[in-house]
Amino acid sequence: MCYFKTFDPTVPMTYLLCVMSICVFTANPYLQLCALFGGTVLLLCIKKKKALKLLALCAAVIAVMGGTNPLFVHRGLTELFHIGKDPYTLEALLYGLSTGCAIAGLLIWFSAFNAIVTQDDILAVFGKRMPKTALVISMILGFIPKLHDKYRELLHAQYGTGATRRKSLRRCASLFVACLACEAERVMDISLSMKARGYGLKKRTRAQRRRFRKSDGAAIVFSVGLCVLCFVLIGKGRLDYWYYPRLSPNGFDPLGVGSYLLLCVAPLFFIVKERTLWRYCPARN
Amino acid sequence: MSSTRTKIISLCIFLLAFPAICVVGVVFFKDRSVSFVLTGVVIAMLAGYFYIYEKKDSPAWELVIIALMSALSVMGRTVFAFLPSLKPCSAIIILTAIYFGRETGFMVGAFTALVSNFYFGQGAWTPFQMLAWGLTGYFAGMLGKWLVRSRILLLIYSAVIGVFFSLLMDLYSCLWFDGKVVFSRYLALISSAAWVTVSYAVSNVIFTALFMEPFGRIFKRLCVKYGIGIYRLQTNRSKGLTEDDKTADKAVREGQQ
Repeated sequence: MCYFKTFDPTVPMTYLLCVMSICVFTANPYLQLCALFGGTVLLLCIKKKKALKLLALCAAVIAVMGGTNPLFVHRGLTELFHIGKDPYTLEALLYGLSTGCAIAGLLIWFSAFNAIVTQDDILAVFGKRMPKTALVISMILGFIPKLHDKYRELLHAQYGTGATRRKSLRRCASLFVACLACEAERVMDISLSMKARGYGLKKRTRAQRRRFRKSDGAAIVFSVGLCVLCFVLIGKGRLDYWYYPRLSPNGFDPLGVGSYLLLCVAPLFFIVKERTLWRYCPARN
Repeated sequence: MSSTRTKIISLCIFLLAFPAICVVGVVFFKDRSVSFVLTGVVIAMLAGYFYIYEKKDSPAWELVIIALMSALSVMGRTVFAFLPSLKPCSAIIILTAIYFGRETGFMVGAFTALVSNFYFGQGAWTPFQMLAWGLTGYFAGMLGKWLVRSRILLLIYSAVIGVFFSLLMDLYSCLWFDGKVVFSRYLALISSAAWVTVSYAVSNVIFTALFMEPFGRIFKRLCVKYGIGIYRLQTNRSKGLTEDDKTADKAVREGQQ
């Protein structure tokens, strides 16, 4: 979204990777709640009403995972009731809810990823390191609209001859093949002209649109630092949490949970700042 | 680019990156280590493959064909959207791999998954999808010699690969949930995804059967005209023509008329 366009494209990507690397794989419910809270608020700020559908889906996922897990897993000591001979345990129910939260967090944060990081950003980040891959991706993104135009042209030509407008598999397939036949020759000509202009002889050069500023570095250090702090605490066992055979009493480490919460709500700072500026500092004439 | 360096890097990925991922998973995410290790290994495999590809000298036609076929299969997902759950992607990947080799097939599969997710939304499934479609193409390229001769084998291959990867995906999600295979859950997943599996296999077969002949004609023409793909080694015509060459020649002549 435009709130993060002032940053270098590596910044939002690093940030989202840091958040997701913890929230998807951890079993600690406190960390998961932090991630869910931060992600939900961020998504509501970015997408507004469009986010509600996804949030409803996430709630459904959590409910289904929580409800069905005890049917398959019978570990845990607190039995709620029996289904047939198998016990339906509280621990399995909570473990299922936690797995559901992991998946919901994944959906929410990836939705934020899709809204924030665009194709251009991905090409800008990987274009320098992986020139061939970036070249192919940008070629694909260029071919798709051309192929679509070709397809529409052929379809309208068929309509012009008085063909029916009903869609059928056979007709679509024949048009599809015709698209390939047209474009294949043209594309091979492109490759010949690439070769004629010296493709593969020297290293490619590329122009950089943005420059890496100090604020970008600071943002990256901030997100990676908090992420590493959480990882260290997890490695030390202070954020361990287990469900079987009984729910673990510890796992709430103020430092770890606090730093992860700070990491999750960090983008809100920019959104709130921007909105306040626009709201309370109007231009004077 | 020196091939030894590429080999060393790929060895490093196998000997260092995979154990490192396993250790990190076990140390940091005790209960969920399996899901972390699975994702990590898949991403490392893809990264290794892309790195090797990046360092290799590949001719311009290869890049262009990869781009065109990926764009076509991404477009196919929207063009055939009016048919519920029938997608031509796998069929296109398989046919490309047969005529242009396994590496091209892998790259077409991987790029199809990556770029179509620009439109349909990236997610944690992206690397798995990239690997699955990439391997569809890779195996098709490996078996290309036989698949190009026999239509029945090709249809069987496309059906089998559809079912196989659907089962593999179910196994992945089962491991992701529990960290081990709970057989009842695996069965539940398979039966709930049975419709997807069947539609996947059926659409593979339908589209392979539809596209087999025209795509083969176009690809053969390209291969013969520019001396690429499966006819790369036979550009010297004095080596004698095989049966396929003759049909390709005929196709070229028909195209010129």
